[in-house]
Amino acid sequence: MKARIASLAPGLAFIAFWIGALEVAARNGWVNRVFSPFPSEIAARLGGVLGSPALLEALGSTVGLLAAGFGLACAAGVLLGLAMGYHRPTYALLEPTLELLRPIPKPALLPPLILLLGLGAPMKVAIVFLGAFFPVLINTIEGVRTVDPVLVDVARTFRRGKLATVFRVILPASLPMILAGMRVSLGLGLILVTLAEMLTGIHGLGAQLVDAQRAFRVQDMYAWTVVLASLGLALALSFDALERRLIFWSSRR
Amino acid sequence: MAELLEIERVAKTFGAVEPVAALRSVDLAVAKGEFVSIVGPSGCGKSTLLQIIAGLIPASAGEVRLSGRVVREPPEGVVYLFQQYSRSLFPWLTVAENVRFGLRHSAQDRCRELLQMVGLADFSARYPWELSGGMQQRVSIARALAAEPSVLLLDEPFSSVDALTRLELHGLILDLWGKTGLTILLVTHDVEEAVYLSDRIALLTRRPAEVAEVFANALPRPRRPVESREDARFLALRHELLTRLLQPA
Repeated sequence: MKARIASLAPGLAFIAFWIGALEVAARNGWVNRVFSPFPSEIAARLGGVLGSPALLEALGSTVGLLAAGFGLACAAGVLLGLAMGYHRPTYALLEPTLELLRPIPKPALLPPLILLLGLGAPMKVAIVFLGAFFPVLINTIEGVRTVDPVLVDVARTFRRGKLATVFRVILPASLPMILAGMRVSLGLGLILVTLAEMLTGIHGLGAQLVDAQRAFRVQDMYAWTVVLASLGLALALSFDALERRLIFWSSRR
Repeated sequence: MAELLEIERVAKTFGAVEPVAALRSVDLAVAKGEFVSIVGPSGCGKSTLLQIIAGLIPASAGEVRLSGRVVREPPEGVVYLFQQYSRSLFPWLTVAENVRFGLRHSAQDRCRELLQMVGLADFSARYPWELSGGMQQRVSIARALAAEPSVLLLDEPFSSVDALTRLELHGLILDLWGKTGLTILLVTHDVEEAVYLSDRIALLTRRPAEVAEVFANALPRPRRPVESREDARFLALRHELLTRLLQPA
């Protein structure tokens, strides 16, 4: 633990230096005071935001939509990925469609999704789903394909059926790749839910952020930015912890 | 003698465009309860032959019969033990869970019994990667026995452990073989190992392989790690096999 703190110290000092420099620059009028308030002012506003009921409402909304879209994308991506990775005909059938849909920048789908699903939760869950689905799918297919053939032969010599082979051997063996895909998806999901909230401007952290900006509450805007950044960090750290528990075996083979 | 395993004119060619012949035509019969080794120059297709017998890959020609039934996929009662124990054990499962994978019905008692047989009763909750190579191979042996096979196919199972561990594993395999009435087919490039363990030894030619000759082993049982290796019959057979293996093509 001590070593961990020691290794973090230079990086944290670097961040502290830049925050300090910004404070000094703002106080001396080297940067525009209106658009770049003092870090200390933002910190004070952040205190207000953290204490407000708006925070819980916005956080709950954003995290809920993200969880729904991300969860559905993981389930669908893994199941379809197992099928496409393991079963050649399924891959041959779906691969061209996949290659057609995958390169679409997902924000480009927001306007049609708004027309089709409206401005509410279903549209936001849908855009998170679409963004998060492909990395999980692609990594699952790749993970299944790169499973050590010896493990599959072990399942064969013990006469395990296809379903048991897929779920007891291939799925756990490809879990490291699958989780790497999910990590990318989680980041994309957060981007897309924020973007959707900014466009629709009703609920959620993205809406709060864009509201503050439009009302020229610049300090509030930065405070909400900090909240979003913290959410991103918290999600990434939680995912790390989950990954360490799920694939505790993968670095030690 | 009733033959349990019959290998008849088995041939294997890899690749369609530029075919490479691995096995020309292999004939071999193994009786129930026998311990037979297959030795041959490296790269002669020994492992390929064993995988065909296991039903893991198809033969290009000829057939393998187990109790008279043609083998087309991994048959009931035959377990293939892989050379690479570190790749064949599931790293996300504990030792006990790995062994239980071999069981047809998850019987906790049977799992404990098997781990005792291979001397790993105290390691059931460990993970394979926490164990030494020799111990990992013991886990895969226990897992193979969990399936209650009548035929055990061993693909150079002792080649990647140190010399002393290898001797211990030889003792373990002979012990289990004596207790269970298993039929064992062992592929190895180690002539001493083949002579020490088996009843008969099939010597393969260079690739594409055929059986050059099958040697009966007069070395008496029980085999003892030190004394048996000094026996004149051990030395004579070793001499014969090594001479044949080292002959220029």
